[in-house]
Amino acid sequence: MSKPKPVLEYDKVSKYFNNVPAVDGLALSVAAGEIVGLIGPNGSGKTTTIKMACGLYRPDAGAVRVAGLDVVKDPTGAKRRLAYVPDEPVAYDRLTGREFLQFVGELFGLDRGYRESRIDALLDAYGLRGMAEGLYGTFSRGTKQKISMCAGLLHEPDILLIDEPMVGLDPQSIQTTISLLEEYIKRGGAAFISTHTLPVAERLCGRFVMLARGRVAAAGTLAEMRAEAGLPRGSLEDCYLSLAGKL
Amino acid sequence: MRSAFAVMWGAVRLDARRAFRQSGWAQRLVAAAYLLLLAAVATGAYFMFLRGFRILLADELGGPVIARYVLEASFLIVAVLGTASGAVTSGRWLFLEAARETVASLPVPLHERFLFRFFGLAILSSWPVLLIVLPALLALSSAANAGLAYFAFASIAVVLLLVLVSLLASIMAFALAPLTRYVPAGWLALIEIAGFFLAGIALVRRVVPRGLFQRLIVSSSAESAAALDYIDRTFAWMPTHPLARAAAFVFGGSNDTVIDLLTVALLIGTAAVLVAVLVRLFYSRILFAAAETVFLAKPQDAPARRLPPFPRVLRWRHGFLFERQALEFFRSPDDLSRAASLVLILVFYVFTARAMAAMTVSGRPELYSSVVAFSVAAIGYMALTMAMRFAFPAPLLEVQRGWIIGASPMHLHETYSWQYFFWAGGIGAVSAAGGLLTAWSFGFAAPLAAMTVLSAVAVGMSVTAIALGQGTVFPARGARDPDYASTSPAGIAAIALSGFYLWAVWRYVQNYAQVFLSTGQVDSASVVGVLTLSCAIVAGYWGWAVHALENRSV
Repeated sequence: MSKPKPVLEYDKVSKYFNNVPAVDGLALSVAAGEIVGLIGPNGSGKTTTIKMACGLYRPDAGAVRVAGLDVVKDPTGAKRRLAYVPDEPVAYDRLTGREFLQFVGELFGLDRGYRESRIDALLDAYGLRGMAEGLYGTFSRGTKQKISMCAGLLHEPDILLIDEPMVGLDPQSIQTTISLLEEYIKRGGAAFISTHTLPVAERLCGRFVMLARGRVAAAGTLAEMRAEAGLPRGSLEDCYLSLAGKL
Repeated sequence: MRSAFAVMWGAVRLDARRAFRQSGWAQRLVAAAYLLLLAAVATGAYFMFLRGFRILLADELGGPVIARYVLEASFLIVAVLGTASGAVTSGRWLFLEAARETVASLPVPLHERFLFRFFGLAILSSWPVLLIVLPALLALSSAANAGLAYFAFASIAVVLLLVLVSLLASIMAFALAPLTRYVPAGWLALIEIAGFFLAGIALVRRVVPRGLFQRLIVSSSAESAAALDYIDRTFAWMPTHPLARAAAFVFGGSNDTVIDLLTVALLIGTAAVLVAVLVRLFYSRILFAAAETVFLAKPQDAPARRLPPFPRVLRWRHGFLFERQALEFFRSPDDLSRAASLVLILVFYVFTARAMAAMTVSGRPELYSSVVAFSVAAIGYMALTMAMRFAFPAPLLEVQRGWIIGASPMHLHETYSWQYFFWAGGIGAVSAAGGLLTAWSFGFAAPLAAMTVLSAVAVGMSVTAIALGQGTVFPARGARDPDYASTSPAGIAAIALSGFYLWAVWRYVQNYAQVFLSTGQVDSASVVGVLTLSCAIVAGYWGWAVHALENRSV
């Protein structure tokens, strides 16, 4: 059986801020139907890595491809296939939650009937249908995070890029988010998730990439991470702490 | 042990020192310019009053009468301005302070907390005293060679006036707090401004009746006494009346001065007791209500009704970008009230300029053309104020929410274009209205009216292009608040460039008006000049901003 085609590829990508490398020669890929967890200490380059994939940062070297499309050379084509959920869900405070989702639907050119049914389904999953009629600026951080997640899943992208998906969510909402992601993956989607919430990452992700100082320090399945860390029965958190101590 | 008041005051000083250390050269330049401007206004007022009082006091019989009227009017104007200024800000200042949550969790007695905010309110409301009453009293002392006793009475009068104004503003804040359950704070501020505007007109009608100066010009002691009696009766029910009488000590001290000051002290004591009762009964309740909801005392938001799908009006290809801007603007009470205040100032200016022009330059083309050019430049100044407040920080706000459009299949330059259409449309429309109002109120002939409106629109669209373009190419990323973004180097550059542009438009409009008023001919070169310069600015900034956006990391 042939290897599934990657929907997200980093091809020797580097990014510098004031001549300091934030990401240095990064090479990795994410295939359809898998969730890859991006882990690493603060300042290791996780957010920069994610932001280069969604066209918010421009790589200084190498290329990032989404569904085979170069994010710099064909930004609109690549962005049509992806969605990004940031760690800080800052949005339009004076739009209602539903209007914000409708706005995102317009950005991606969704048919209005389809857009409304998707919004209702996603809001229902989180139990937000009534609340979403309120202004975005009045929502709690957790509610904003849930609305952002709905925005990311709205147009069923090929790849979903998420920076810290669980921050501010209550346990029930974490469970809902995991369910939504699992359903999305079953339908052929892929996700690349940067997170410090390692127990959730362990449950959700099939593979992990650990960054340190902008380079891949370790990568693989949980079994491969355990082997790398020398902890055959360790959790992802144990492996992380062990590997981080060696950096 | 230090009191809570002293600790809070120490924190303010620490904050101020930190803000100064962290500010850039541009912010310091703007702050220095403001201080210089205030000092210049106060000094100018001092010399104006000094000249006036010297002329008045040269007339031993009539001088003190008019000087007394000037003092009464100055104290009253300052009290109204200070109370209006304090009342408009007092709601936020007393009940919605930024550090309220931190302070609420500390063992700070409620009365000290109020006293601290009240002290700040007194400082905020003190600008009319510093700019009008203080220069007037100092000028009077110089003109009349007053002694130490006058300084003592005048100083007490100034302090009492400040306390009186702050107490009145506090009472208004408590009286209006329940209204914020129903009316957003920004709208309430606008309603208060309108209320004070109407109250100001009513006061002016009372204290400046027709034939006033015939009553004040006297030629005998009996007429002088009658005029003073008239002033006493006119201002008798104003709380500032005893203060003005006390300051008039300079014309000859009497026991009445002490009685006047005691009267004001009694009035202030009564107001202070009322405020103390209000604080004791309601301050805590209002603070809790403010902490729990966005608006004071408003119950938690009930689920709102579902609105028709967005976009509702502008359903063409990129209309949703425009409609989003419009929704955000029209749903922001702060933005609306600021825009409305600026429009009110523009209307006020046009009518003032009209009145001044009618009195001074009627029938003199060379001066009249300057007034016409000045009117267009003033419209440009108001347009620039709006552009710097709304259009300049707009790209910064877009950067802060850059993940939404930045990670979508939308070209970033399209967002610039739609932002420009939105702000240039709005500011251009206000400028056009200002041009029309000017042309109508001055009664311009059609060619001059057309040039005025054309220039006003061009100015509105161009300064918006400069502000939005500068904000896009150099977004003030360090600015914590969009209100302060315009004090960034890019903001100052936008203001400077707009100043040069407005100067050039001034010259073109002045030239056009002078040619038309002198010969009746239309000066096409000036029209072409305004249009060419404006189009070059709009197109230049559009190209620069689009290029910057297409090559930027968000």
